[in-house]
Amino acid sequence: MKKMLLAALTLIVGLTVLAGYFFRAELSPVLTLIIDWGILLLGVAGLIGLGYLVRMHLARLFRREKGGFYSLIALLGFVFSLAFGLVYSPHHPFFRDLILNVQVPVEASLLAILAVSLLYASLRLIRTRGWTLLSVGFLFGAVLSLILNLAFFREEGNPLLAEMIAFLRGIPMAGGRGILLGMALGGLIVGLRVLFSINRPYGEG
Amino acid sequence: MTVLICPECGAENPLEAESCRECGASLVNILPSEKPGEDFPGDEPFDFASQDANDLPGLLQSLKQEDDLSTLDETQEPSEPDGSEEAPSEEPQEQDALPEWLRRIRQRAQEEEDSVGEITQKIAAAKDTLADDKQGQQHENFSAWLESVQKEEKQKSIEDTTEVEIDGEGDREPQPGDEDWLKRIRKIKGDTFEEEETLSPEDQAGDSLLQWLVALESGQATAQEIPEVDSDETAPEGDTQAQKAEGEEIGIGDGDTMPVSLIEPVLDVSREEQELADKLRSTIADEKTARPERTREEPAAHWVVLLILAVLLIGSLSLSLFFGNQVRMPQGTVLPQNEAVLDWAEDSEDKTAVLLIFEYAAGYANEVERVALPVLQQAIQPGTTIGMAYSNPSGLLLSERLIDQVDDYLKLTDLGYYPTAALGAYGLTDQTAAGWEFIDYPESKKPLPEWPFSAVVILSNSYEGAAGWVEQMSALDPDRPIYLLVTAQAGPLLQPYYQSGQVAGMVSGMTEAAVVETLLAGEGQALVRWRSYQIGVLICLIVIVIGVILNGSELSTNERRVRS
Repeated sequence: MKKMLLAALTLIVGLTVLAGYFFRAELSPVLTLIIDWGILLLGVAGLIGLGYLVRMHLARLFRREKGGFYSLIALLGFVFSLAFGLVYSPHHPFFRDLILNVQVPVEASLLAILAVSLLYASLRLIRTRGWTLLSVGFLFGAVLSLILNLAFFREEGNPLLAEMIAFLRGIPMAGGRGILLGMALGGLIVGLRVLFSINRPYGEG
Repeated sequence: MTVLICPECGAENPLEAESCRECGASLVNILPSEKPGEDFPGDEPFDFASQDANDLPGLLQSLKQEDDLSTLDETQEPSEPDGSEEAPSEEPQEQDALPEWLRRIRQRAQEEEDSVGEITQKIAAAKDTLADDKQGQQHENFSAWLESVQKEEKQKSIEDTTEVEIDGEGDREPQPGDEDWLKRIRKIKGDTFEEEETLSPEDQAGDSLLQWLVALESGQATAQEIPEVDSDETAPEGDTQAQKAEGEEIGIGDGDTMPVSLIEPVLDVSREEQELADKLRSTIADEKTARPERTREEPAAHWVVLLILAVLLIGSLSLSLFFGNQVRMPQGTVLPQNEAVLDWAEDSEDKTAVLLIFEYAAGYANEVERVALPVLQQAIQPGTTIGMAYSNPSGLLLSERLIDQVDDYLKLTDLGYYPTAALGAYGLTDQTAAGWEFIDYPESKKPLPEWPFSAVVILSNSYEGAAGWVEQMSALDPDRPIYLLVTAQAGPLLQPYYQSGQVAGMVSGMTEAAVVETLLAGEGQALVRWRSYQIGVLICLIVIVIGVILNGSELSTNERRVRS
């Protein structure tokens, strides 16, 4: 009974939103209501996640588990951010600098580590995969796209070079289009499967 | 029955088949063979259970009837106390010692054949049959015959006791969780189990299944595994003929055994299957072989190389920010999507309201700001109304940081945070005036500025986020121009949206940002950063090429060593 109710609810909401693209004037208030509910539920889910995270770090701290020191730093950061956000507003320059001057360098450093990891992985590619067509082609493509991205080549007055560069730049677009078509078809199939309750991401699957 | 056995997959096929119905292999010139498992007399199924066990479904059905009967007896019992009759004259002393209710039961059992219940009749019949069989076997020698006579006497006494206890309540109380059928068995059998435990195994053979079930349920007995027939002992290796092992016994309780006939399953192995099995066996043996633990040997100078590489990378990137002349980008590198953005930024028409969507994370702030600042500084004029919406939790802070660098005197309208791009795009774009509305429905959205905006600019670091906004907005409001200012990572997958016309223009990555800045402002931060970006990418290219060559040559050396 519960499964049937959930499936019926999903079907009704999905078909209503889909019909909203064709009968916007008639269904606009209902769609606004559904969108508002969705945004509200996502916000509440974020709050629940926040509470769960705080509880986990508190538990790790009080149980003196390994990594408790980092949990203490995370909790202090959370408390400071919350307190400053409540005292000042998020629009205050001090609060903005306080958050962004920590968040931006930390995230950028993680991205830099990711770049170095990718570089190292490309070095290990031949060692792990050997001299295969796939590994050599992959490395050649990566090196070529990096060179093209540097804009070293001057195309002025050389129509042949311009044609070649345009062709090489178009190759990734072909791959991109293929990926997008696959994603669109996959999304369509998943949407239909959810609509017809073949897949139940809201329940036991 | 003769069948054709496929030499490839071993499937059985009818005699008239020309090809295997499983794998399609040709069955021409295949000699018919007897169907495995049918060359045993009697064509009996593989059954470990005795005849009593096979009667179990009928036994359970009779239990149900017996339960109904006992219920009926209980309801009739209060009306019968005055209806007692005299005991039979053959056993006057015993009748005097018996209680009144037992005397009535015995009397009723003599008058009515069905009063003892079908279950008791079946048990008695099974015992008689078993005793007759044993009698026939044991008459071969006299001593065995004498023993059987004694056992018959015991059997009679047990039957009497069983009949007496049929409707009586046993001492053992039903345990919680007992199955109904087991309660009925316990109710019928009562204490007779305890008495029968003293009997010989031959006497208990008829009731052993019921006893074993009760003992198993009460924890007095444990389920014993059926002994496996060792194929190595019963058949020589490689022999695939059906083998029959007779006289095996399986345990059914404490010391009880049941004689069964074990029929070894037919194993028809093709040559291909045998080869696969041999390979698997050799693989397993190889895995179990003890090997010396391999220790990773790192050269002593390994960390020195890494240190030099890190210093070189960081030092060159840092120095390039402070030294060197500014780079001038060539004109020929302007892409069509960049030209569309340049045209919109330099066009002075209709920029009263622009909607900015902030869809990038803090880690990408520097790159996105380098891409967006030249365009926004050119496009946004004093007095332009800027609507700001975010689908990233840090969007508010990042938007203010960016807007502060654009102009201090802008009309800003904060449209708030939307947890997902699709919801935000749908909610913002769907401004259709409805013919009806919910009464007293609370207004949850901030009041929007006058729609429509002249353009929508999406600042993003990922394909997914930007695509969500583009797809919803281009579907609901296809006439509104959408411009993308994104990172190099998101650019390639978003370019098809420009080619399909859903996006009016796009700038992605540091290289395109440097080109656009050169054309719009002549100089700026993007050009300075682009030099560092260029040097960093160049170092990465060199490292990749050198590393691949070194690793490849080492790999080739190892291969040659292995071959030699």
